[in-house]
Amino acid sequence: MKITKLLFVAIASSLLFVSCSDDDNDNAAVEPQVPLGAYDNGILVVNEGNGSAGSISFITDDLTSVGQDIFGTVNPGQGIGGYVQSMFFDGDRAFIVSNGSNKVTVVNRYTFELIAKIETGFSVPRYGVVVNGKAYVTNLADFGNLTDDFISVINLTTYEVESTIAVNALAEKIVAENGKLYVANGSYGAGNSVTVINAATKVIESTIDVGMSPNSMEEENGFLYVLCGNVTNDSKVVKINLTTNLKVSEITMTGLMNAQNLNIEDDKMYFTVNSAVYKENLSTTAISGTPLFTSTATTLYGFAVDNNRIFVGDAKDYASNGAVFIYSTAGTLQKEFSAGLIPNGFYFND
Amino acid sequence: MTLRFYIFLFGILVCQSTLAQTTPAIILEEVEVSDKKLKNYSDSQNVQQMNDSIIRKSQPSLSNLLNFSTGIYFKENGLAMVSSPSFRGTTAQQTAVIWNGININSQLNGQTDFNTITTSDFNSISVRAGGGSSLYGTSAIGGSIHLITDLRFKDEFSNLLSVNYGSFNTLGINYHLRYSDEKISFFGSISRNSSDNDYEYLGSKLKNLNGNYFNSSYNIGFGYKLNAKNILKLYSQVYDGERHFSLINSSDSRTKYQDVNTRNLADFTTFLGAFSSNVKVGFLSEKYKYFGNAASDNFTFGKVETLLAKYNLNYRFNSTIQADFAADYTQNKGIGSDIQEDKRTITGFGLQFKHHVNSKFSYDWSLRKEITSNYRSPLLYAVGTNFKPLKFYTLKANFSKNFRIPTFNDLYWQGAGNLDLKPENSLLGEIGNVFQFESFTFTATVFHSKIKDMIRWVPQNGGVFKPMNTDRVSIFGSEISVNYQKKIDRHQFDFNANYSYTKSENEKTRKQLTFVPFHKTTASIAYSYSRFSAFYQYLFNGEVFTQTDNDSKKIIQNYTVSNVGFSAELDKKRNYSIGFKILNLWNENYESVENRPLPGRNYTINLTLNF
Repeated sequence: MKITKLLFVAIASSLLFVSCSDDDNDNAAVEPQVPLGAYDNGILVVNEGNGSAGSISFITDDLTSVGQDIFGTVNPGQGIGGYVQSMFFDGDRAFIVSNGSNKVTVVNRYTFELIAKIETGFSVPRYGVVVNGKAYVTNLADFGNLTDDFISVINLTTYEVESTIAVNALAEKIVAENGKLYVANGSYGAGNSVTVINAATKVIESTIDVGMSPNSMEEENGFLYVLCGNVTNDSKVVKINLTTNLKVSEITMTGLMNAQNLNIEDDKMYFTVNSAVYKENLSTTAISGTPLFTSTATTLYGFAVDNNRIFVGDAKDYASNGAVFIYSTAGTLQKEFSAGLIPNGFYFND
Repeated sequence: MTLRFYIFLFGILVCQSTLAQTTPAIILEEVEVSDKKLKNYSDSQNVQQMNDSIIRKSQPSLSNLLNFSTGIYFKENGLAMVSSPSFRGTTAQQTAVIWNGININSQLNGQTDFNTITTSDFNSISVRAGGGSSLYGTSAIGGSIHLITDLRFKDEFSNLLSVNYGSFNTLGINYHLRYSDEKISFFGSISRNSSDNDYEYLGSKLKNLNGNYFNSSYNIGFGYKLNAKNILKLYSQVYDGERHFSLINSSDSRTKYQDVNTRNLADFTTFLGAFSSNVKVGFLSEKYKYFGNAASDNFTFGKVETLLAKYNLNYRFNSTIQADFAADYTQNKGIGSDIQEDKRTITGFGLQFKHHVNSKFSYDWSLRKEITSNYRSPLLYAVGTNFKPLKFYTLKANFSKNFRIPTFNDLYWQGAGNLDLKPENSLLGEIGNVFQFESFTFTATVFHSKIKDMIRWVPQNGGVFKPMNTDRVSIFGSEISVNYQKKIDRHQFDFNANYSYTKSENEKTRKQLTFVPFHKTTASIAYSYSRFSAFYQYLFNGEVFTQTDNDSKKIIQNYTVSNVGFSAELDKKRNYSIGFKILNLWNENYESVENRPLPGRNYTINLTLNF
């Protein structure tokens, strides 16, 4: 039935991406001299695709070339599933999350060779993180039920889901810090809190009220910055102290509704409203300013900031090959590439 | 033409009585036909009629029947899954399905799922190519499919029981009862279909998972002649089915879907001299439940109940001129998990006129205007002629304006519905040439249509989809069909073939619409000798694009599928027959939607009892 599919697409695609993967940024100092594989030193683009298949594109770090469907190229006859939602990393491994196929595909992040497929233990999986040898993946479960969401705990030795953690609220974006899982309880304008879970004990330690639907978040210098918004109210960023797990302040955004895609880079915060890209000082307390630039993308969908570049994924009409626009952090367009169907996120092998 | 129109109007208004002869033949035709407009106002278009014997050769779904016998393209999400037509390059919502003269497309999504119509429940099915909104209202843009329950008034009593069993534990049972005399006519059909539908995918170790289905349906017609001038007819149909939606990847969520559709119609006709008056009152309901997890009891649903009343007054000026005035009222009440309870009422008025100028030339026109508070409705019209200058040659021409109204989902979907939508509307012109030499018929038609204000669910900023009037589409196409029948002694041959070329472009991007093939060919040959018969069906579907950018890597490959069948009547009275079919004879590995393979070679055995 077409409309159920539409609803599915609407919901699946309604949550835009943080997608700036800050994993392993700490290791930047020990940058390898020799490429670890064909897909080292470059940008991985997740293309959501349709119910039958999503794909991964790869753009070289020097922005000279793009390769489409790199997983299919390296692993012929294998698929990563439909509606590919996100990717997360652990050392050399990348975990590709398909919410349409309830599947997590494990590959070598540099060669993209298939390591394992995890196909049980999920119900519309969304995002994941790794803490102490275990992966924690959020699941939306039943779309109509806002309290049945859960976290699948994956044993990274056996590649099996060994247990689940009930969240009792929406479970979407997830961030790990100091052995704690911070789960954004926001989806499509619904939900208004962040759940703090002790990863080791799997116990919910607290629920932080953020007042509005959290859609993206990022950790920076001991604080968690949570961007909250919906289509009818001014958006805001809530700053949470990760030692006390208490809200310390808010940055209000006057006149900016449904802001999405919070990214923090070099003490600047970046976010988007429709196809406009904003850049503000992290220390600011109120935002009402004008955008840094407005992207030429027809439908700004994926968004990330990394290495002094701003990446925009254009989903176009959701029924044709997407595009990637790369801007400088001053907002100057540097390069444009074609991508797969519905590019929704960027991840960095650098 | 305008002058004639005024003359005609004047005629209707003052009820000026002309000395008309209402011949018994005309009455008979009026009595037996359930969809009179199809008969009276289709001379300038191509109507392909499929009778009982053709219907019985096909597999029981409407998709299968039409896929192998018409130029209509079908997009099927796997065998027996959701099936959407594209008729003359249009979208699934731009084909109307008409049950005994009533439009039964879903009020929720605007289309009919052609795998939820069991063909064996109908006496005949007609395919009318081209515009029909001025007669049938919404969706008759590409064409219309007419499901017909004809009632005959002559002494007859017959029973038919047909049982099909085939690969994948597919079972089909159908029973027909017909009873009639000069006063009463009854036709009843009841069907049950089910299948495990777990076929293996060719060239892989995988099989179709979670594709099982079952459905039950009945279709009843009852006619009663109160006296020579008054006839009451009642029609009722119910379809109740459950399908699990097959998986693409084995770890996909296992979902299922239930449909219950009911249609009830009372029809009362009165003949008064040159007038015949017809009142119809109908009640239709549609309801679906979608289970995102087939194992759980949670579901989302949508439901619409439709109440309709139609009045039609036909007047025969003389044996060559007739006109109809129609007025109708439709009320839809819908509710669903994502639709707040809403009501929509539409009042419609129509006028139709037909004139057989002489034995060689006729023309007709029709007008329809709907009035509703939801949106502005355009004046719908059609003009057509049929010209037969030579004994073997007929020229047909038709020009029409047609529309597709916004659906309940388009208007009322919570958080997305758009109350400012306009109907999609289309202008369509076509010219058809028919050459007929005894048992050989050759038809060649070209058409051109322009559709604007296409309703598409377009992503809004923030990722929410909302229906908007966006694209314009320009369609150019041609259709060729050949029909040949020959009987030599006890040998009977039938040959049919269709070819259609369709270029259906988004006017802005100049790209072909997705899931519209440029080429489609069907052919069938049937042969019978005495008590034995055999047939062969052939289908070629050209490649289709799956993306709007027409990326040549994102296509569905063309495919060729053939079926063959044999049957034999076992006794001299022809009361028992046995049949055997091989579907996809050449074991083609094909699909009509990406990663949804359709079955390889498979078999069906059939037993039919007439008593």
